Amino acid sequence: MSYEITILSSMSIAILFALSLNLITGFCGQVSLGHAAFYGIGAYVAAILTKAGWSLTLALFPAAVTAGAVGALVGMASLRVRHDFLAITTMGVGFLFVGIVRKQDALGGEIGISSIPSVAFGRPGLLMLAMICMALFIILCIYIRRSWLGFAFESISDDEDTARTFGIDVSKFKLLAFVIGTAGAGIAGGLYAHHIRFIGPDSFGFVESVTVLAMVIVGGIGSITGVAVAAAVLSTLPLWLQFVDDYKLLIYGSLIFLTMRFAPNGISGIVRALWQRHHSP
Amino acid sequence: MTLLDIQDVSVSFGGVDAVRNVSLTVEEHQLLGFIGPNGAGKTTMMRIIMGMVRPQQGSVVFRGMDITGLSIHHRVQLGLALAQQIVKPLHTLSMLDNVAIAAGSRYMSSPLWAFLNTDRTQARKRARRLLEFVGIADAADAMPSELPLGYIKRMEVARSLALEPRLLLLDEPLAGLNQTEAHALADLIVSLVNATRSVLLIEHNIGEVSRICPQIYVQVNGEPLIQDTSEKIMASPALRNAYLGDH
Ligand SMILES: Nc1ncnc2c1ncn2[C@@H]1O[C@H](COP(=O)(O)OP(=O)(O)OP(=O)(O)O)[C@@H](O)[C@H]1O
Ligand SMILES: [Mg+2]
Repeated sequence: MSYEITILSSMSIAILFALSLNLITGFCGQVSLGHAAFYGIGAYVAAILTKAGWSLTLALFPAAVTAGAVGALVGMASLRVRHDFLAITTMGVGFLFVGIVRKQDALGGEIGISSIPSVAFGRPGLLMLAMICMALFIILCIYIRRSWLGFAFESISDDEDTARTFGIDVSKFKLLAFVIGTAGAGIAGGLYAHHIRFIGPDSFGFVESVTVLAMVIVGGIGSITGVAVAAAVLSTLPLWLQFVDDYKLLIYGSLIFLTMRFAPNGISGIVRALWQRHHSP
Repeated sequence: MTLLDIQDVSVSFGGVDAVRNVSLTVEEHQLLGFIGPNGAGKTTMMRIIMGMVRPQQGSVVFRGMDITGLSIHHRVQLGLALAQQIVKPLHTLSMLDNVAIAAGSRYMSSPLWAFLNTDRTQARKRARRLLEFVGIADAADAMPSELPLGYIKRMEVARSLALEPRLLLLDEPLAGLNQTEAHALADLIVSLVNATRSVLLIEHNIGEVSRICPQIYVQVNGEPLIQDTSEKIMASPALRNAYLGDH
């Protein structure tokens, strides 16, 4: 039972984390190669607060706000640069985060933070909390996609110069995508810290950013269901196959490459194509 | 009443003077033709008016407001819309939704307002009427990539109309249309001009321009040449020279 709970918790957290990037990269078309930094910010904020006696549920709010605030700053960079330059900028933010955390004694430096308190009701309690957060974020994503905000995101993702000619203030919309997406990553990070109960700078490095990007791309950029499925599957891969854990960067990097090359719309694109073939005369 | 008042604008791209000391006004209730040979700086003028290009010199006043430094979305909200020469449809959206998103422009005036609004049926209804208006309702559900240029150009016109502009800027809307289609769209353009809407029309199809526009402005090599009634312009040797000289 406890094994299942552990797996389900990692899945829920991974789905939340991947969907938070999907909002930025999938919905709004802004590439990020440093998303793990916001996961890390949420993890550190939540861990410090629960160690100081806060309940995790409460600590997730400052975790989200801090990650979202830093996300807004990084989002500002997205207003200046596009595409490949944005990828490099966000990658830099990811390295910057790890570099800074390493040097902070208050954050445990190289060693990180250990013996993070368990949450109320133990592992089942954490699973509940993770599933609630994941469900709420899924609902938020579905709602946004149906709203005019989602419509605006879609047009920005397609062609931001054209979006401007519809009277869309592209900068504000992009910033909002970064804020919501990075705040979501902050919550995922807070949950992760209390799932693993030990965090260090290396838990939030480049490999994690590539991993979460692989989930989004393999699932199908922008597809809520596809990304959720990919996140669920890819997050459990290292548990079942030891070599995946050893060659993470290689495997997730190849997955990104192969998907981009052979099925640019990911799982969701493949399923849709099969469905159409099956249902067309 | 003057709707748009451009004073002495200049733009150069890395040493190439695309527009030099141009002043141009558009009155309320006016349909002004804008012609000139290739590279005359016509598109650049439209881009200056929309705010896609900042003039290095000069000013643009719209509805009595100096908009020279204003961003594109503010200008759209003030009542400017441009149907671009090189149409960039959103490829992930159907033709209908390409127009519908512009029809819902007011919902997207801020991210929060956009978040709170979910109903797309009104915008789609209006989009469908606009597609009918420009004569391409049959392609409403098609994707832009499946259609010929003539359809895309008319979708672009519908899309700019969906913004309910006070001044509609059309950059070669008849390009890619056959003679019958061009004639029909030209007639529609005339019907767009009313007490609250003016049109500035760039066209290479001089036959149609002179037919529908009472007034024509001619620009050559980035500089104003003449502006007069279309009869006088068509009879003017200067016009002939401008086109012959360039080709
Ligand atoms: N973004 C740009 N960068 C560099 N040069 C440009 C740019 N835009 C326009 N030009 C140059 O400015 C001049 C005017 O171009 P513009 O597109 O405004 O002409 P046009 O009158 O619209 O021509 P056409 O009838 O072919 O559409 C041309 O020499 C063009 O090469
Ligand atoms: Mg042009």
